[in-house]
Amino acid sequence: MSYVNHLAREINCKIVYYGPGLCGKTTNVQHIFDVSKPEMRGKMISLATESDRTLFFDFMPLDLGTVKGYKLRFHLYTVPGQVFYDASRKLVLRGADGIVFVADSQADRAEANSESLENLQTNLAETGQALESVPFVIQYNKRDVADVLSLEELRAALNPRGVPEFEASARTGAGVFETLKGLSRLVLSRLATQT
Amino acid sequence: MSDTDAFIVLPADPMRLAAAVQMVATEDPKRTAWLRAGAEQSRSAEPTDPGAARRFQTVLELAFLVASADGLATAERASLSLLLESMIDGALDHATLELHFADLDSAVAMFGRHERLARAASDVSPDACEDALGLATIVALGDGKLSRPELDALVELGSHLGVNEDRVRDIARGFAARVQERLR
Repeated sequence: MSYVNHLAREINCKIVYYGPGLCGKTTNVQHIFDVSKPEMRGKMISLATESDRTLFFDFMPLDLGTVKGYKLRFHLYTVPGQVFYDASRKLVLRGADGIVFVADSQADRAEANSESLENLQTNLAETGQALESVPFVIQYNKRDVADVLSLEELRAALNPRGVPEFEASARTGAGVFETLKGLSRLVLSRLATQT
Repeated sequence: MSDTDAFIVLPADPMRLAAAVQMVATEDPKRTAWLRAGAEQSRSAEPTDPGAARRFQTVLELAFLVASADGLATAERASLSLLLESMIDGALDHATLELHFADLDSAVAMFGRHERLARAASDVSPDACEDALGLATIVALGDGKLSRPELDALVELGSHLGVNEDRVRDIARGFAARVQERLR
């Protein structure tokens, strides 16, 4: 959806981190916040909603340059922890320009991953969007913990379409920026076709 | 929403009311100066003082979010634009402000009103909290009332800025009293 702030000469894009509870969504967003230059980002905001909490911050990724003279501002959103109400998930997806699905690589979370991915498709459909039409990448998180599924197993279960996928350990920061850059490329490419 | 549900109602002829609100809005030369400087910086593609531009855009967004909390009809939008133009001494024209309002509408649609309020409030420096609340109040009073949704938005903004509800109400009443003085 991206909105242009003509006065600030900025194109604002909303990136949503989605996934099952405790998969590392917040850890991803927090890592990007921690590593971003303070002068290029806003504050991290944790906003209580009626039932859950939304965590977000925005920053200007300098390495992405400008689009027709307008700077890019990415707004990273997630609903942290275990989300109890689907309304919170739907709300955070509103107007998303790109989605990172954070999967938990642990074997005992396989079902939670699949359910969450299905839930993402359902919730997007309710907002009138198809997952296929939104820039989308998958991150296989927690690659550094014990009892993880193989990449092939994860791919077979979660990525039949072959969207860009990344291994990560958000706890250490490994793969976090690679994931965001992967999604950024897709978002920019879509922006280029829209402008 | 009827006027009787509003927190503050300033009954007056619209022309007189607009003039009174404008007088209150521009009575502090220091505030008018920094608003104008911020607006001028915002006009420039390469602002020499990006901080001033950002500060102006922040209070502008906050004022818009409060004033539009109960919806913003086309006529209200036009008077809001006129009021802001007077506050910045014409540093931004009507068309630029109208376009900016449309952009802010898009931001609300995409991110949510509560989220934008929290985000913009996070850019307000601790020494400018009451000023930001005051400006938002003046702009919201532009149509002669401070409705309940507008007051709720002001209180919500106050909570982000560390200003309690009683103080927010006092600020609102204070500005309303000043407009009423100008109406006499």
